[in-house]
Amino acid sequence: MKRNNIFRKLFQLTSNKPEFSLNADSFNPPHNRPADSGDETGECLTTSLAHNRKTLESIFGLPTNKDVVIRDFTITSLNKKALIIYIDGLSDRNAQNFAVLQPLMLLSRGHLETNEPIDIAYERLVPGQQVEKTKKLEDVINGILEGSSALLIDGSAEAMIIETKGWEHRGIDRPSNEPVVRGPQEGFNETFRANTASVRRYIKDPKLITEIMRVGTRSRTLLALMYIKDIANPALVKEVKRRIKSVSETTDYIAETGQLEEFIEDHPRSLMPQMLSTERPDRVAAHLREGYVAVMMANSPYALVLPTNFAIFLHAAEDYYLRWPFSNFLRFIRAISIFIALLLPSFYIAVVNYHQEMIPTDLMLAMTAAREAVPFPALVEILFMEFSFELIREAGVRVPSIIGPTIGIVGALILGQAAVSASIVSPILIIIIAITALASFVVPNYNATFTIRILRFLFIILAGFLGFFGVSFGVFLITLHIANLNSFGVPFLTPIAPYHPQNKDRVIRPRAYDQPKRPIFLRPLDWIRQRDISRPWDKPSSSSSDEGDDNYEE
Amino acid sequence: MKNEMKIGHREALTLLVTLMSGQVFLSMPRNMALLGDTAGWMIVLLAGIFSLIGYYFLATLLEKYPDQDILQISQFICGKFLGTIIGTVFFLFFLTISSLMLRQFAESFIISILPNTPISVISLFFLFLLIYGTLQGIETLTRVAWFFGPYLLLAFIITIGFSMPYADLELLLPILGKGPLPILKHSALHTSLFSNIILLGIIAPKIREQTKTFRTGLYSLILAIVINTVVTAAVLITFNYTSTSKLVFPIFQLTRLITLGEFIQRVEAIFVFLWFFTAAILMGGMFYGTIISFSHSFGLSNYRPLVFAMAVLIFCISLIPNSMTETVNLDAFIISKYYPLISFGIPLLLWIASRFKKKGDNSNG
Repeated sequence: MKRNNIFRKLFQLTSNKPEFSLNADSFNPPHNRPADSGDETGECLTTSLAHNRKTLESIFGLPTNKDVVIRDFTITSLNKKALIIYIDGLSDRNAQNFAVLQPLMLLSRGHLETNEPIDIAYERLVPGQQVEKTKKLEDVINGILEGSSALLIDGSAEAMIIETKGWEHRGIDRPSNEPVVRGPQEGFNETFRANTASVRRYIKDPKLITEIMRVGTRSRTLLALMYIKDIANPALVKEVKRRIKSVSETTDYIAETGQLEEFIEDHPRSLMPQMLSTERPDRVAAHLREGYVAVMMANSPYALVLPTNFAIFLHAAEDYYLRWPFSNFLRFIRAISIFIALLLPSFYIAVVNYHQEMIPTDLMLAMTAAREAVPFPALVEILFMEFSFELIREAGVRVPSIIGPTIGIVGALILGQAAVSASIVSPILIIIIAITALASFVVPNYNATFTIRILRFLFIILAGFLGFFGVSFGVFLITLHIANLNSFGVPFLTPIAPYHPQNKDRVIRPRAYDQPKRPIFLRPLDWIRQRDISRPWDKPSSSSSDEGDDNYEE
Repeated sequence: MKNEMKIGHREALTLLVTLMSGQVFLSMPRNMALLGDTAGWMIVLLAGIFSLIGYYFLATLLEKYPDQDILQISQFICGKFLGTIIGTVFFLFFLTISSLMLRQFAESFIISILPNTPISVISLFFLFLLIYGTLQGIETLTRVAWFFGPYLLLAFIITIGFSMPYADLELLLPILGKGPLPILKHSALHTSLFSNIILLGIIAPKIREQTKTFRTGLYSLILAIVINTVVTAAVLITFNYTSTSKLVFPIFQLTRLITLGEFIQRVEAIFVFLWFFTAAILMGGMFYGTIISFSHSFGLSNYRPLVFAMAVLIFCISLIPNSMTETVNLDAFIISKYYPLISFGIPLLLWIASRFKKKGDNSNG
């Protein structure tokens, strides 16, 4: 039984089940924090301002907690005591001063007599555009935590939540990890609403739905689920929601989409990225239009697009903005560089150690001569250099930008020049490492790069032990693995295997007007993306796409 | 959940073609040259045509009982006891082929690229893939087959194309080799070349579109016949039949001939990849057949616990023959005589029985 478990664990890579490590029932009863505090102090507000103030003070830990500010004042026209409560730094001072305090204190002249002061304030006094009345303490707390100001008036059991959100944030910037030459140059940033709006700017369709949820019982981070209602498959949307909901109830803190990804992906033990994380609104929009679902979170400049397939290794945003011959050229370069980045060092090892006969004699003599002075076996040599390169790469990310150029000097001079002159590595190996490094930078997705970087070491070791046999073993193993992968029910190798003849955007990008069907593997509600003949003035071409897709099932 | 997954007919087709063509990497062309001299390719072709006839019964049987594999069908037709015996025969058949293939492929890698590696290392690496692949299910294997299939085919074409400068069509003369009768005899006896088509009987219920099962098998058989015949013929016209019969792995020698100008020489190490993929897919299919035939004939609901045990069994059996030559002879000339009885004979018997059974059913009803 135990052995069986070990085996099962060893091969659990294959499991199809979504696994959530945290389970709501086995864990502490999950409760949202505000709801908790609401339970302690009563759900609703009272008519007494002093009492309400005391409640709020105890919830927010005043006066210890200096973030929360309470401003007491009197509403002139009503002659009532009132207060606004907000979080310093999350609220916009100007909005508070000119849209809340000034109208209430200075501009409301005359005398109004009423039993429901909050209604008067709502209807006449506060000019804010997004104002909400509530009796619930929980809403007040949530509103305050998000940067709104809550207005409480003596004698009223209701509060007004006035939208005064405004905090320091980064402006819209160029996408730093997915730059393109041709195409839109703006990326997401950390502002939630700016991100959702920038996607909507690409799709002006009322059917584009943005559902908002919160994840993390403590962080309560805002999360937006975007999809086009009459394209995206409802089952997919439901599944995504189910997983996110489960996470939101079970875990206390989710800061970023990268963290969420790990919680909701299908194969947490796999090396393959199973969601596309992108910082380009145009890319999200393009995917939404095909029936994908996007997940965005506040404070995260990366959106998740799911499900995904092998295209994550190959397709880039720019492919669709260039004319098809150009983008296909890039696709080929990319496809080749994936192989180089994965396999070139292991090929070198295999050839040097096992298959010397493969290379022409002259080249082999040159290589042997270069290796003559090197005291290490080729495997040690290449592991050493690959490791150094990974060091440069990681150091390049972490190094303070002021001393950034040092990395270049250390990397290029010491590791390249000096290592060769000291006969620690052979010059040919430096070339191999350099080409591999360049090729690994061509991979368009940051997560996918990691897969390739890690697998490269596996291949090097396999090649060191068994030559080409080991490398082919590795390739077959990886292929078996990715052929089995699923991302939200979509096989990783679609539309190649399982094969969908109608979706031709696999390795080669078909001409833009020649892709009438949406990705069928997503089972979209509406398959047709454009008319079969988008260029009616052309002569009918022979390449029609009326080939039946046999893999389609209702 | 996983067991419910279906496979596409294209994927199944590539798997079957690989199953029936993988042998060209081994000593199949050599054996044919031994049997038929210059007419070795004709033996392959005729054997293919005979197996097409045999396939007809298998396919009609599968068509008659959709959503059932050959083992369930045999239990349905012959009853529990006889069905189990038939299932055991299938199991032994798959077990033998898997073991012999494992041994031969392992030996071929040792001879060609890794001369100093112990055979158990190579075998264990293969077994690891088989176990991993089988635990994930046949649909994964078929997807991998479909993924690699076009490249394998391309590699065949390149190999044969680049060796053509060395070819001489006159080496096929005399065209009938040892004469028409020996050719007919040997081709009838060596329908075993295509006996792996029986795996269709195992995977048929998993094919998504049941109506295409017949075509899938037929096309895969035809494609396999073409590949096998062309490779045998190419080997025969590149080397002559006497040297072919002395080469253990003729297609490996064929790849050694490839040169492209001065730079690309001796690319056979690259072909190791394609060789390896073919071997792994072939053995994966056969291994799956072994496990399924066992679990279905004994009514096990889950085959996964069997995987490790079967892997050990296959590993042990593969080490029984004393040498490479013994393995090749065993596979090509001794045991393989009985393969057609299993892969074509049993479906034929079942087909006949099913006709009687149907009549009986009708009279009852």
